[in-house]
Amino acid sequence: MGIQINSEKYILIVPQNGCSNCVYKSYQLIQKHSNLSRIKFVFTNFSSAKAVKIRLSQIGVPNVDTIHFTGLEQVLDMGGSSMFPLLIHLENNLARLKLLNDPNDQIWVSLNEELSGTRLSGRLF
Amino acid sequence: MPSEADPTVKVTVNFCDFNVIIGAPETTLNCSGNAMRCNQTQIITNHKPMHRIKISLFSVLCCLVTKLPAQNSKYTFEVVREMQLQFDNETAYPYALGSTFQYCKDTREIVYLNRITHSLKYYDYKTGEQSRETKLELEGPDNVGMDPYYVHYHSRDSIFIISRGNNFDLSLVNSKGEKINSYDYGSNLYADYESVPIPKASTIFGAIEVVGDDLYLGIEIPSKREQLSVAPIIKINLKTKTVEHLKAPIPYKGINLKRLANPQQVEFYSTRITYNKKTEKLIVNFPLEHDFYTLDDRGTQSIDGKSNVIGDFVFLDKDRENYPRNHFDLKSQINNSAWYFGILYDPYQDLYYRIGRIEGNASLYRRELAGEDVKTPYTYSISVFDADFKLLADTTITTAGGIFHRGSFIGPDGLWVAQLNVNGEDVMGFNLLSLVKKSDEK
Repeated sequence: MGIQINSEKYILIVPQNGCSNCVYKSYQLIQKHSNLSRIKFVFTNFSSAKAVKIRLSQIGVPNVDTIHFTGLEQVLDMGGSSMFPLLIHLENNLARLKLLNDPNDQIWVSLNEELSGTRLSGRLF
Repeated sequence: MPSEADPTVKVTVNFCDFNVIIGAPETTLNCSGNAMRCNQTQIITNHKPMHRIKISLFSVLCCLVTKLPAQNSKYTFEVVREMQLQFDNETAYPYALGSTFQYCKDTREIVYLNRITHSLKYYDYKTGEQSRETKLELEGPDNVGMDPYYVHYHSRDSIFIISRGNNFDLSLVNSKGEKINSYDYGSNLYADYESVPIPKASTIFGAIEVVGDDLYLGIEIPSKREQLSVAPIIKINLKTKTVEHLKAPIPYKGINLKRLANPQQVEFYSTRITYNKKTEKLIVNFPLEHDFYTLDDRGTQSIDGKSNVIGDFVFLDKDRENYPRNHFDLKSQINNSAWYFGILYDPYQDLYYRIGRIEGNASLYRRELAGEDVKTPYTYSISVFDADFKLLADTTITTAGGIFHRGSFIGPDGLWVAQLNVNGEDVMGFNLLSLVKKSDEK
């Protein structure tokens, strides 16, 4: 994807033109956790990177230049989707991938808990 | 597990059908596979009253208009000019589902609904420079609803706004964004929607025409036959605020609606309208009908509008509920069926432009979905009709020539359509499409 990984434990890849509820959930997450070094937010399947940044600025994300963008083709190549966000967990030299296509919102709750440092009420992977 | 202090992470992992290789110092994720895409326009203001539109099923007239075969056409329809709107730092190219662009005749500007910041941005028609802005309020006494998605500029101080999450309220604001009036077009009148369509306005272009004291609203065609007891067009009297459905035209009479993908695929369900002030005719387009319709005080007429280049509509072999969500046939219908986007009247040239999508190649699409490095092209059809609905040109245009899904409008020079955003994020390009005499006719 051409994106440098530093100390991140998670990468969340969000298809901007995908499932609208997923995009909404993703924006909520970015709004809350954009300053964390443990997670990198990457957008794909977007029409305009500028539009994404303006949207994020509108909801109060201060550092929109830390948001990354990548081509849809690359995301599809690694098992992602044009519709649903892809969560990548980086641990012990392994990358585990999870497509967030479950209509149940629990995964978003768990991800938020994980990033907030609170006790997980459900499994992430 | 790498600590937070680790500068880089080196990871290699094999997964079922993909390989992910993450290496320091930069992470790369390598695999093979394939991509998809997305894609989506306008309006004309009119003022002259179209009184006494008495429409009934009995008054539906069917008249076929003879059209010239494309090969005999003296004209082509092609890109002849371009222009660029200069975006500020809070305005961006419209996203996949597009936005409304419209020419403002009274001020010679182009208005663009910036759906991100909920504001109307105006651009000088000659220079493309931003000239002014109308901020739309989402709360308080001037609120227009939470998600304004359609604008119809009637005049500087009469701008109609449709918003999602607004309980079927159509707002009328002035150029300062002050709410002058609002019109309930559905919440009270239709307690249930068993026999009439839910009044969900069409998007991008062709949802609203104002004719005298009446506002016509093109709405979504329902996916259930029993909801089609009336036409998917609502007439709102702006003085009395009375609301009624037109009785005709009823779309898709010969179509089994269960053989269409679900209504989220709005391409098959949007009613788009345009108005010819000279003839006092309202023109109606339904996506999966070759004919389009004219409405005036004499009734409804069906016009043969079949494009010679558009191909065929694709229908499902079985009712849609029999298909799993991601079944190829469903996807193939959505991605490959021909359909008519809408029709626009150009009062300056006295022409009609009917936009469609050319039938795609299902077998190529199957290969694309299977991961082959092939792409099914997205090609529009444009049929140009004169004032008497005689076909003047019937042509195709690829997305390189313009993307109707993203925006288009009629200006004094003709039909403008959004370009691919290849000139950077601060510029919105438009191509002007015009009739050109074929060389041997020049």
